Amino acid sequence: MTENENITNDPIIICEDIHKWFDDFHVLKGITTTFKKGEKAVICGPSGSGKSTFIRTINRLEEHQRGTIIVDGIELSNDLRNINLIRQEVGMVFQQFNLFPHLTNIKNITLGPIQVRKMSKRAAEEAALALLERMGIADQAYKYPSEVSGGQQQRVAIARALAMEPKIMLFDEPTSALDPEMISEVLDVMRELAHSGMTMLVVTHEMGFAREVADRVMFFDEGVVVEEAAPADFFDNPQHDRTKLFISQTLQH
Amino acid sequence: MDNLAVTQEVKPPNTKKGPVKWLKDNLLNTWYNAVLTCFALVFLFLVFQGVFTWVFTQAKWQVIPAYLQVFLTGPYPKEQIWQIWIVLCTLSVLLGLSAGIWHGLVFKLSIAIASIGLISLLIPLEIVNSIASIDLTFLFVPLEFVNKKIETEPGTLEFNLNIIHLIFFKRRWLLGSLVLLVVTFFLGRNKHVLKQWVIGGWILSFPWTMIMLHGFGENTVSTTNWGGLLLTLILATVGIVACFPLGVLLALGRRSQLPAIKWVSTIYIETVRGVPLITILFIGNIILPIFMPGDFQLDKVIRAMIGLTLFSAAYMAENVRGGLQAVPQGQVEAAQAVGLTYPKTMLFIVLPQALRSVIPAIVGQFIALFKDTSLVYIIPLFDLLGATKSVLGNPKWQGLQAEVYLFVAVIYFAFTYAMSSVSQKIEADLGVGKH
Repeated sequence: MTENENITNDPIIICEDIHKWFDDFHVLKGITTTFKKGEKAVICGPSGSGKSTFIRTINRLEEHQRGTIIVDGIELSNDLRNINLIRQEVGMVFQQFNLFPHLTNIKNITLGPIQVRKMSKRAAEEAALALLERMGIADQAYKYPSEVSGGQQQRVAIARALAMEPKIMLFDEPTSALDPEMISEVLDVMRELAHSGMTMLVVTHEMGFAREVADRVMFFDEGVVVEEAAPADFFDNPQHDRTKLFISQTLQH
Repeated sequence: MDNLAVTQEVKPPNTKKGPVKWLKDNLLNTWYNAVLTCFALVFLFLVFQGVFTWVFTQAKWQVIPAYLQVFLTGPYPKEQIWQIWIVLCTLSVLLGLSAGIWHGLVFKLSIAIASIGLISLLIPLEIVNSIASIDLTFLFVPLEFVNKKIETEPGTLEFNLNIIHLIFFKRRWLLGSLVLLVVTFFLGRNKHVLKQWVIGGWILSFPWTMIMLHGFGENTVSTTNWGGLLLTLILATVGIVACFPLGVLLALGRRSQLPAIKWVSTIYIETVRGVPLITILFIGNIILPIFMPGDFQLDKVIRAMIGLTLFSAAYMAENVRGGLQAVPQGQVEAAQAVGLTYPKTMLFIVLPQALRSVIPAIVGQFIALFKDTSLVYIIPLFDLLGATKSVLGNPKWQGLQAEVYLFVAVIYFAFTYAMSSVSQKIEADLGVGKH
């Protein structure tokens, strides 16, 4: 396990007793946790356990119905201004990339900085090209998303989120829709991002990535955090039966 | 080392076909297809023979040039036609500048318009008329050129002088518009600083057109005297330009999470779609004025514009809503995650994708609206079709219906076909279906 030299003691996301229902279905049953600046948390669990819903509440793509979420000192409420402020500080990467198909890759990236951060077009494009360079796909800037591979699309999506210079990055199963040979190119970029000190919440089934990069692994099941621990403890010495079963199933292949 | 051989370039089989091969494959591949082909050829021959015989030997086309002005402008007074030409010159300037600045589609469009203008400029309609075998003076045609027949033979000096007189004097306005179009194209070339001014010009061109056509003082032309193709184009343009944003707002409204907006939009759309256009025009013309306060009277043409716009917007809203539903929720989420507000999410992410997927439906709506303008004859206004009917209503011209209606049909077709091809070019430019 790697000791994270970037992690601090300042909390950046504080969640207290978060509940969420989809109609009568209780998805989140009181999540209480705190993420620190620079922390990398990997969230895993079976499908339907509420892990995606949980990270989507942090930038208000899902509304929580009870409890409090404070992100970077701002409490999430129905106040649209607060929601937009938080969304500017929180970048998100989706399972299905969700790139804008009618815009070129570089315009996908510059849209937010120009429209939300009020950056000049030129500065935004320079920043976008630098980000694409960092992602290793500078030559794909002027193509449309449909003209590049899935792995490249996901890296454009990461660049789009980073272009807003967020303090926190949320990853919602970023490699689940990728062909196996493209998973590593996306994980490499995420690894590099982790080393740069970004606060990251990653929902993933990539246990190798979790073991290598995470400061903390959280295991969700049926809307509660069953177990959370540093990766070494989590994988080698799980406490709960449910966790043991999950680990044995995911590590089998 | 067989693997190496495999990686060598293998050319695709030759699938090119000559015309003979094509005939064999498609028309004569079996004995019954050969029989069908022969029948079809005979049938086509008979149809075309009939049509050609009528068009070139029997039809009395002289009625078209004689009544051209009625078709184009209806009862618009002859002395004030220059006001229309001023408008056309203004539009030529704007079109020329736009073609220079934006190239692409606008450029192709102006080439098409310029070609039509040039052909109209060079066709010696009056001379065709005068050398035609039928004496048209019995029609009491209200145009001067028929009274002043030009009796010249093609090829003579006098004929050439007449052509020059025709182009440089009688058609000086058309010539002027064309020259303006070309000159402003070269002036506007790559002058990107002019962009905002030209867009502003296009927006101002609408009130300008209305004011110029209406005139003022002793040059006033009551809107009841607007007619012909002129009125058709004005009604259609206003309807199309106005119903589009209204339709988009109604579509967004119907999908709104605010119940008041949602229900108002839904009720509006369903009500208007449940009523025939002709009823809406009647309501606008007869019932609405009763509720108008005092002496206030909304102009008849404006009432028709409002009726057409409100009617068309309801259909437009449903077309747009179809497009909105086709945009995945993930697109909205991605836009929100970047911090875009609702209006910006709609403007930059959702609407561009929604609209381009329903371009065929929207253009179909525009084409329907263009043709629906002919219903204003019940108000009554004398649009292209209405003016035609008023000409044919005179028992003296009976027997010329076929020629006149065919001519009007060709005009309608030309405009709707142009709309259709422009939309296909736009789809190609946007890469619809590709990315």
